[in-house]
Amino acid sequence: MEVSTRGVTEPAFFVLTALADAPRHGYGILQEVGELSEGRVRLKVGTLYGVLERLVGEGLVEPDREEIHQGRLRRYYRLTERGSDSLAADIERQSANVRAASVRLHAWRPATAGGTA
Amino acid sequence: MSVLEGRYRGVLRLLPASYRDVWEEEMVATFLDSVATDDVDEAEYLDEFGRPSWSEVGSVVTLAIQLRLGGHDAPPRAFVWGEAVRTVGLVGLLTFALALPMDLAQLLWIAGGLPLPAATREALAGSPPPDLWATAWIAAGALWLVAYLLLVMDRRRASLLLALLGLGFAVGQATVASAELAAGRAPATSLLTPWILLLISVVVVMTLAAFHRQAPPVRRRPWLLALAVGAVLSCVPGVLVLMQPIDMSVLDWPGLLCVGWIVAALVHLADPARRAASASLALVLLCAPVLLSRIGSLLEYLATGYQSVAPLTVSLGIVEAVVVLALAIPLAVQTMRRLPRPPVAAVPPVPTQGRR
Repeated sequence: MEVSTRGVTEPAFFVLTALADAPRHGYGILQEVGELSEGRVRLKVGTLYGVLERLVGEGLVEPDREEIHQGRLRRYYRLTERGSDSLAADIERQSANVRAASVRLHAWRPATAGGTA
Repeated sequence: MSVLEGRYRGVLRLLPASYRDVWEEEMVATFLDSVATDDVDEAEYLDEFGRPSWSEVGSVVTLAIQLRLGGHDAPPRAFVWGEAVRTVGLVGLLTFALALPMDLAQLLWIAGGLPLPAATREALAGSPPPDLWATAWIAAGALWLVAYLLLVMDRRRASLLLALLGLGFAVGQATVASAELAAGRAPATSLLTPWILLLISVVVVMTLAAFHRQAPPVRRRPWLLALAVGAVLSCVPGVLVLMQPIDMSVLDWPGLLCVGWIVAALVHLADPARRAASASLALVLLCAPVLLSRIGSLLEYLATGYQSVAPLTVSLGIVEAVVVLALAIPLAVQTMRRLPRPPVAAVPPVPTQGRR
């Protein structure tokens, strides 16, 4: 299966991650993204549904089931196999970036200590 | 339905109907869940007086722009609208940017001591040195030019920042003109040009919202070529104005815009099948600022008793406005027929066995 190597946006990355362990509805995803990012990413509803629509369109996420909660529609979403592959590819891409940056940072010396031109 | 829910649904009306058919109920439920509180008093207050936060409204506005002015993966109709608005933005920035080579050509011509008719030389000798506004005008032209180049080079945020600074000049000019009117030092018609310019500047800056993440990159070659050709062409009328007495000039800026628009419209009407629907739609949209600047300048000439222009400029101006309007109607009809149909709502399928 072909997986994009372009990487996904940060909100999309967190939405995919939020759905990795269990199907969730919109508000559940918002909460989970907040927790996963330790409060750094606070998705707004418009942003969430822009991301969800795109992920559903790309086949990375699909509806799981619908429930009525306090008279309101709750649609649960789950990760597809393609979504799982895409998330894995993005994790690998980000990990490679982190490894490369770590190597450079460990090799770093203050300017006064000299270095290559 | 609570007042808060009603207000949020009102904001959601910014989204296309086909999108709302699928997602509205879910978005409303998620939004209401996100603002829910255990405090009964606060919950009642929210129900009756609550409003969606500006950031929530902003997220819906952003989504609406992305959906209506679509990019790569948008439905055909949204993509055509997106491309049309992006073209309008590029043409708007280009038009503002071309004021710079025109002004510079005049300055260089005068500074270089190149030949000038006696009447123009006398007029220049009697006029005061370039004032603050003339300098600001050139600086604003430079800002628009850099904003245009940045957009063509796909530096969208930097382009928007520069365009906002350019807009700042238009705001300043309109504010000063209004203050002059309030102080009784200028007639009401002196507000027309700066306020029309401000309005058009605001619209041009707003069109930059169509250059969102999903929007395809600008095709560099044709737009850089347009800048080069436009810069040369805009220098010609700038110098021609100097080469003849001012009151003989028929080449005013709105007139040039009208002529450019008319030529483009005729090309499109002659063989619409060979033109992209988005380009035709962009032309239809551009008709509004072109007509606005033409009619505004004519009204200003009328109010000043035609002191600064030849009667021929006014007559030609009226003809230009009529021709633009006459061509805009068939072009709009033709373009609307060519637009792809709106998408039909497609609800994502939900496995029925999981439904409770």
